[in-house]
Amino acid sequence: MLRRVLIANRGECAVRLVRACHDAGAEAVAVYSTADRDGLWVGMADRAVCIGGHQPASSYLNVRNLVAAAETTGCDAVHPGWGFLAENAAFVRACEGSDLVFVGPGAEAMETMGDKSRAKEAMREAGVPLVPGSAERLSGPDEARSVAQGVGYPVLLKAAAGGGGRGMRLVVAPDELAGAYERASAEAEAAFGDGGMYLEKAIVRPRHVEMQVLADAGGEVLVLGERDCSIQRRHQKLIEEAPSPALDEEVRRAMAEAARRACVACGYVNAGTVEFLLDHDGGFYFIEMNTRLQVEHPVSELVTGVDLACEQLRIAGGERLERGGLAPLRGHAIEFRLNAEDPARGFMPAAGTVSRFQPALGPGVRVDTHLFSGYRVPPFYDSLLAKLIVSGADREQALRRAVRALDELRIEGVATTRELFAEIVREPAFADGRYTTAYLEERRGALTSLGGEVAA
Amino acid sequence: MAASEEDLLLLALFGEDGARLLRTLRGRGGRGGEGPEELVRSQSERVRELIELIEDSDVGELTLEDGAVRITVRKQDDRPPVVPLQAAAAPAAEPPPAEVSTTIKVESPMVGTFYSSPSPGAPPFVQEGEQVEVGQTLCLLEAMKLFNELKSDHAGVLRRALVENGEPVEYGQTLFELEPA
Repeated sequence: MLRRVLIANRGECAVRLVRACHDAGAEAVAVYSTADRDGLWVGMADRAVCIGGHQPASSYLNVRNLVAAAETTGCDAVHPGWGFLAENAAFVRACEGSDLVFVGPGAEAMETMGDKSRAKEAMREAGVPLVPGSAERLSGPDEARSVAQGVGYPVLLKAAAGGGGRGMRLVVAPDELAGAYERASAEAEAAFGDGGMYLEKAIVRPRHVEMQVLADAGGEVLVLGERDCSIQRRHQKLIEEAPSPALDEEVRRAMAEAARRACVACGYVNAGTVEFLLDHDGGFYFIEMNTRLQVEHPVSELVTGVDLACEQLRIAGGERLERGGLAPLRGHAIEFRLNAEDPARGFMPAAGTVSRFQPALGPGVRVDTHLFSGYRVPPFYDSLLAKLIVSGADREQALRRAVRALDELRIEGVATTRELFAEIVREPAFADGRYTTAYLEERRGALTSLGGEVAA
Repeated sequence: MAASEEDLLLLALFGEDGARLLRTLRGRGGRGGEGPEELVRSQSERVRELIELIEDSDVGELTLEDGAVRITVRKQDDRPPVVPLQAAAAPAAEPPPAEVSTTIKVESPMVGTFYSSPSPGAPPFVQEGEQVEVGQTLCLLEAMKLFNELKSDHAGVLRRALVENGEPVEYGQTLFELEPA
């Protein structure tokens, strides 16, 4: 078992991981930038090291300072959390080069799944269903044109080296393709240092369903069910739930089997997520694998009873999974991302001091956050302030608790997505579970919290 | 356009960007006819513009007044607030907070292990009381088995070393104090 773990992250992610370390019997070492001296996780950890200035490149992306912080505090492992360096193979190698266990998959698995073209190739070989499109990265706009003609419009141009919606363009008609290719490639170059593109058929109004996996060093894979993350804005998730209202047992098994094959195909170890698009006819297609623990992992924890972050530490420490196969799912869970954004003003980032923070509590309510009353939100990092996760014996109970908890929760001083969620949970369109990734766009006029300014 | 010393400061430091912000404020009215929601919205817009202005500058704090509303935006670090009456002076190197002195603090630019000598048993790079020149090596900082020489940006007398040989140091930690020449 690991003794002392450096948490190479900040915010509510770092808070979560400090707790996991302590629950697992390990010491936690926190890091912070000069802008994060007051961070909640800094005081919760057993030790803390200032690793740089406020800009992420100086601190949370600074491989040398992070590894040095682990070295100088006598850590035996590094947990990268999510974002920042969590999917950076060079960081994995830097840790291993300093005899630090990296809590996550190996560098090769990360590189295979991190390059979208290589990932698709590996999945094709493993018999995992893929969205029709270019088999590998395109040689240029001309190849894009011929592939698009083959699969039929609309098509999606996507960055080979990235995710999160950047370097992505939807192309509806052939005459838009060349221009969209140019712009998407430039964006990908800027965001990921790699302007390579590939092309897929655009599935119309899909649901986004992902499978949570754990794998150990012995090759055992446990699939912990799915999460439906279809409520998104510009490919950024806002609400996630488990299980998906759209999956029946048969599709679930098939999707879980595909996720298991994906892990075996790349020799995956530790926690990961395999993402699929679900078509309305029940067909599903692999889109990418996230080789890290994800923001929305709590919903899976609540319906399986498994502490994913603790399992990560156990696996990294060399322990084996108790069982493989499919973890039984029980009950229902829904997560809401409270971001410091103003939905009424096009989700403009809000800044300032959280003058008052009061979490929602009580049965079936969990809040993962780094907030406290009086906390000054630094403007340099992502806008996630808190995750509200409700659970219940079934979806109806979870929804009732969501209504209560969203009303009880208080985050004052900065604009957040709280009111938007309070509206959404009261909507029949959400309550009957039959939403798609087009939900926010479709409900734009009806949701007063959006003020009619949701950009497409 | 400038209605106060703080407005003068804004214009002096940010030129056209500051003028644009002031025009936004003046043009917004904010008296009568605007409900509380609109006031809140225009305030958050002002805050956002203030943040953008100071983010990449050396200014630590900026305050704007417009009628009944006073907005202060402060950078989340240890810089002292800008005093409006000194608008003519650029915000230069900040003096140490609690002392009235000219002491220069040499801070670590990285995380690592501090070594005062080039090798074990060798005499230290610098001794207390010694005159230090610009570019002179003060110590080694080691991380990931690589040694980095920390060179002095200032000339002066080494007042004291605050860290011992072999000690771990973090980013921003004060390693030496120099009395400038």
